[in-house]
Amino acid sequence: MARAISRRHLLVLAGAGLAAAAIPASLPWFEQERTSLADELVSMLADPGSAATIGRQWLASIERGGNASVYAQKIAKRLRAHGWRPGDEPEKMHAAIAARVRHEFAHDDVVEISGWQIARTDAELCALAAASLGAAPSEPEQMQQG
Amino acid sequence: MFIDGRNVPDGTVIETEIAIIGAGAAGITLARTLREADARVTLIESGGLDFEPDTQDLYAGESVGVPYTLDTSRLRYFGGSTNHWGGWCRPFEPIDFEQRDWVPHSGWPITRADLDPYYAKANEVCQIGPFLYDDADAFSEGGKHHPLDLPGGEVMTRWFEYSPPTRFGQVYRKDIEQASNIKTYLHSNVMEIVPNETATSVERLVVGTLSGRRFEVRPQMVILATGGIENARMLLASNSVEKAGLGNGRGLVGRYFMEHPHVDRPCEIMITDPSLVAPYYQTYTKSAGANIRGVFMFKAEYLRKNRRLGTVMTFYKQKEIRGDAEVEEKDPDETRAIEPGLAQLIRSTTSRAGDTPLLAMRYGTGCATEQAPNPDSRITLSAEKDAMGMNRSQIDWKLSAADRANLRLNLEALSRAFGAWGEGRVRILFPEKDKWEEAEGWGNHHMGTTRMAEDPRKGVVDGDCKVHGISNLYVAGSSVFTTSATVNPTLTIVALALRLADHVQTRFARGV
Repeated sequence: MARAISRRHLLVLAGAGLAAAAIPASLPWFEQERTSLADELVSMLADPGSAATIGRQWLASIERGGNASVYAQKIAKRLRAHGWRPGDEPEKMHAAIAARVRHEFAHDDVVEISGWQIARTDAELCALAAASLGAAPSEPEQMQQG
Repeated sequence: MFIDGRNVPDGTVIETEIAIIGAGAAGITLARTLREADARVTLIESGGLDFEPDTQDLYAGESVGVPYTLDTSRLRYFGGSTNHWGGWCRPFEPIDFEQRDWVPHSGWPITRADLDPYYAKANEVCQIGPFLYDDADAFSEGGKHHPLDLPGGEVMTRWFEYSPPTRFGQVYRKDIEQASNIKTYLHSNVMEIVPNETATSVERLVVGTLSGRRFEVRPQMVILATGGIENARMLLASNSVEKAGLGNGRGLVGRYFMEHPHVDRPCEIMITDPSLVAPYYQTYTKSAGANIRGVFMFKAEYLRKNRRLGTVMTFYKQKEIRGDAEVEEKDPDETRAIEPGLAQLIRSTTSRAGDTPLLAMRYGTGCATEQAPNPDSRITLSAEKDAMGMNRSQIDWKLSAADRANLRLNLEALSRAFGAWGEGRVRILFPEKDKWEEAEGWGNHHMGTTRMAEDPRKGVVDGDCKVHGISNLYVAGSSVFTTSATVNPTLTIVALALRLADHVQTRFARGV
């Protein structure tokens, strides 16, 4: 995997780290796992800040809000179908994301943002970035199906 | 020998074996091929050896459908529209000749294999160089360049080869002028093709000049080669015996007019690593002795499975998408703001590109697309008369919502291919609409108005390009195309003319 790391990215990751440190130890274990998963997925993005911008634009166009843990779970579920398991190395997660995105294009599972045709997982990674960075409106989890 | 029709005495009768009406790509190819025939050939051209406004004005007419310009989309002098063509050449695909059950009125009576030997010769006539087309290895420059490896079985790379472009009127003028069996009448307008009383064979051609002279040509055989609009006009105007026009007993002459709608920037393509894009995609490129350009087309399997018409797409470098935003000028188009982020997203997910400040290259595109044959898209005679006293052409070009939707769906297929490849994404700019009432552009390709079909109920000419029901009248040019395919028509016009010349020579040799 080759990713260009921007100054903005470093700031975002630092922010994400601070946010993770602030999570109370009393949170249920699955909540911690979800938060960790979201962070892990966001960390795969070369520029989470600009991905968040795309995510906000997409969420606005479909009139939906964003919830980081929900998007993380949805993405993770799809990645499992491509051989990824929690705790795997980042390279394996990246390979699963690549395979998933290619699969979605091949099966016409795409969304449109300003005319750009991107895979659903592309878009949901961006939505996840938006939600993780606190830039997307929150939405109850039960509303976020499909 | 060239003869100026304005100097031919009134009432002259010219006897000949073969009369060819029109000296464009088809007419000149036919005449040149018939140089060795044991027959007198009379080539009749409306114009002179150069552009003349008065003659060109005979092409003016009315447009009542999708707005179209009749006078500027073709040229009326020796060499015809080859005097301004762009030289893009490529044979039609085999599927283009097939009857496709999802394309009403499709299916030529000939196959691509029937034309293959003539395509090779047409390549020579158009001075193109080696007949390579889809030989990717030949264009690899020693393994350096490869077509994009787009997966999915929907999109393929194909290559155009370029004619210089050959100006037939200049390049082949001497061949025609010096041929002992050819007389070329310039400034001579065929005003009517007059058949016998039963309209089963042509007896004579009424010829006139803008200066007012009138004379006749009495041929044994006539080949009408005046272009995709004028061929229909000429048959419709030849109505002194058959009131509906010659060869128009079933009302098909002039119908099924087709163009290649052209759209500038139907989509944009972002590619992370421009080094993967061979030079031949981006501009005219010399390779393997030919001048080529790589394009995207759609595979026959995809077209069949999804019941689509074809599209051909070119692309070219438009703008670098850079990560070092400090040095990048901000694009005034606000929708561009997400592009660096999108490039980073591709690099984060599917791309294998290395780390560089250049995140991606954005490419612009252009396309030409196939329209389905439509009997209501047609050429008729206008009530308005030209300087020869002939009814002008009226064009009612129709494009359908289905034609438009087809292009949009092909763009979506292109998007899938680039996404699945992993190094690119596509932005579709061509809007969805439920009508197509105004063309973004067109190719000046006039096709289908005397369509070819074995069944006289379905076409004007048969597989030999002979007008159904008339023993000695043939049509040459893109008006005989049953369907339009997606690529430029000239190579196929020339190939069909070469094939027709063979047929005519054989017929004369047999004395029939």
